Amino acid sequence: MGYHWDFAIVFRFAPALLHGTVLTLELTAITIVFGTLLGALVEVLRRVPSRLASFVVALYIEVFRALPLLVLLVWLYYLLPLAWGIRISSFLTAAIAMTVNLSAFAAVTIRSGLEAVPRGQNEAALALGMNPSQVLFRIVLPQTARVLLPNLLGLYITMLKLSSLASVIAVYELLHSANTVISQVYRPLEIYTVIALIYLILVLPMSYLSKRLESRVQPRPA
Amino acid sequence: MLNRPSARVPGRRLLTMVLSALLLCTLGCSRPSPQEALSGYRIPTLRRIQQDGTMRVGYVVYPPTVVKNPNTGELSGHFVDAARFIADVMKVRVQFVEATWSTFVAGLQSGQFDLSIAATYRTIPRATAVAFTTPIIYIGNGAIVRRGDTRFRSLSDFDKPAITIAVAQGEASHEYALQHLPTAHLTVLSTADLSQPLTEVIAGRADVGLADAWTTAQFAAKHPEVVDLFAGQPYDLTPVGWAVRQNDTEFLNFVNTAVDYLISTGRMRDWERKYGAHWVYPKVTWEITQ
Repeated sequence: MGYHWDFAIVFRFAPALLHGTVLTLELTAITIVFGTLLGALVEVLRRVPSRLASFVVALYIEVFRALPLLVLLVWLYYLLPLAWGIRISSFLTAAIAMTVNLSAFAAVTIRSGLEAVPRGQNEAALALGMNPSQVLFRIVLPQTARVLLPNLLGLYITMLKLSSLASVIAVYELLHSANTVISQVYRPLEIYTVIALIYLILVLPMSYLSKRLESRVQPRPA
Repeated sequence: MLNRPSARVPGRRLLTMVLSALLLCTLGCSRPSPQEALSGYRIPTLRRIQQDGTMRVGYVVYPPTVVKNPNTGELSGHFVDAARFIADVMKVRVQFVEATWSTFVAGLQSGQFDLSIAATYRTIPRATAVAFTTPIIYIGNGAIVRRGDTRFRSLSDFDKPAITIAVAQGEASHEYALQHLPTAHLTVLSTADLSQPLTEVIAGRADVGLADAWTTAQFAAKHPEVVDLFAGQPYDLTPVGWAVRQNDTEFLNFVNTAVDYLISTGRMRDWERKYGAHWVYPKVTWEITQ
């Protein structure tokens, strides 16, 4: 059966799709910044010499890595007002859910990055008279960053794509904006084709950057 | 072995402080009882709205009852006009909160909003979760099939094992198909887009797409490759109403009074005509008592 494509309607609603794209980027940017910081904090807490701290951190990581983001989104959106009378916007709820989700994965990634630096280098640097902050910023972090960045970028790309789940609680990111347009024009194929292209435009540069960083991390053959 | 408690204390202290703060916050925060949680508030909804000066109204975009301009975000539609009118008369502000078909019930129950103006079929299973107003309009269901497909003339033609029917999960068409078309193969889509089952027909993944009569009519008008099989003769006519929380009796009485007033004075129909709606109403004859 032939289908009559009509992309003209997309131009009529370009502002709506642009607004949805901007909101997607805002939501993702907030998630990346706060999710990474929270993940780093979780990893720092894990290094506190306390069994209780280790238990709490381990529980946090396991719970928020296991929970599907969609479940976490809807659960938070309705649990917060019902259990604690906290009413926040759907955007803020989505930002919190995505931040917490990312932080669990970021903590594990940061840990593996830090552990990639041989302990002997720490000890050697201390023995040479460097203080702990010099060791951290001149020895550990530069090496860690080379390992961390490609992995973190991979997580960030995933969060960008997962931001579409926020549509289920009516956050006006790209997918929800698209669904609103579809409810007016009943041309889903054209709209979904365009938002697929938009996602490609957003994701592909990040994927390329991630691959470039990965190739720089890989040791050169002798 | 040296005992170095001072090295362990700062981390333990920090952790204890953080956990204690979280615990205090959880215990100290004012939590509603289950009954209050269900109603969403400690004081009756109607009184709270009048005290706060704000009525929170949940909506799901479903033209022409609720129309959202995708470019400007501006809300319109005859249900929106009705809600604004009620708020104006009450001299309160109306705050619109968007929901989706799958979340508006939870939105009511969790107190995200006080009144849902989503055009919801008043069915028995749904009435166990929310309290519906009196019927505002009646909507039936329609069916989309490919143009030139001569296999289908009536609903009974759908009920065959070789026929694939696409429906949106939880939608009235889904319920109808489960009850009345038991031998057909159902493709149940978990989607907020009511036209997605109809797109299945265009894509050749389903023989029939079921949805409400307005959606099928609009879809067929935009897609010449399909036809609205029951155009102008919707089946399974079902009353549509607004919803409030299950135990919110006082507020429900108020909203029912408002709805009855808007219908009997003709205001509701005027708004519907403004947006080009063609809903079904029972025919009412008025007479003056002799």
